[in-house]
Amino acid sequence: MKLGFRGILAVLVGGIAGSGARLLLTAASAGWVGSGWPIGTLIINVVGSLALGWLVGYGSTSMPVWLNSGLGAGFLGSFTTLSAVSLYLALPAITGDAFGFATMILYSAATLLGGVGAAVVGLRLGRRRSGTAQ
Amino acid sequence: MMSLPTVVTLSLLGAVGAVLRYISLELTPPHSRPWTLIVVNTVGSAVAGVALGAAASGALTTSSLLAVGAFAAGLTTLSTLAVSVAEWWEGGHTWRGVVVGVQHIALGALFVGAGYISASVTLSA
Repeated sequence: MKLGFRGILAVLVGGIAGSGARLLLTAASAGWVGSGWPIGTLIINVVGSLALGWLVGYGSTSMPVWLNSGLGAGFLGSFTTLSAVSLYLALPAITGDAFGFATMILYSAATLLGGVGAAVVGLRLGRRRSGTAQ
Repeated sequence: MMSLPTVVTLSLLGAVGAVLRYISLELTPPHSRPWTLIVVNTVGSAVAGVALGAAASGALTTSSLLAVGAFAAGLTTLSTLAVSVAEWWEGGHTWRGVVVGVQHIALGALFVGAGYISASVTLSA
């Protein structure tokens, strides 16, 4: 694959926007459910997966490659995160908090199931929009 | 509440992580990209674990921890994994998708723990 400057620049700009949006939403949602259940990250990961599913379903041929990279790998790739989910799961294990660990296993499962379910919906909506639905 | 300069700096670090992920995946042949994504997500989780362990040992300030965390969060991604698993599910490879999805999260958590313990032990010695 040929790496282009325009694609890298688009990912950088999209990455700034995606990371910034995640930071602000995570901070805003900090007290929604309680400190033990990071609902903001869950919502971010599900919504981001829905949007990336839509983008992939809609098709990379429907827009310039650099724009697709900026929106997909840049904005949505950095909007969603796996390291935060890994941290939430590992921290109670490190501190020996069995209940917290069990809770975070459920949280991780909800993240994965929610993300994949949203991606399926996004893929189908995107294909329907581009007229390539089977 | 974070100040605007803090948000901009952390967003820029997240974007640097995103660019590194993009370059890693683009330089990989398409059939090997799922493996590259596992490596990227695992490395990002390990980096976050090391930073947390270093901060717990007093070797890293809270600002530096936030900076490394922002980079790791931008480097790792869940949406690409979710779309890959969704496509495998649609293609009838449900178990492959389940295994890969669980692998990402389990390896990520394992490497957060490994990074945390390594940094804590090394920096406390």
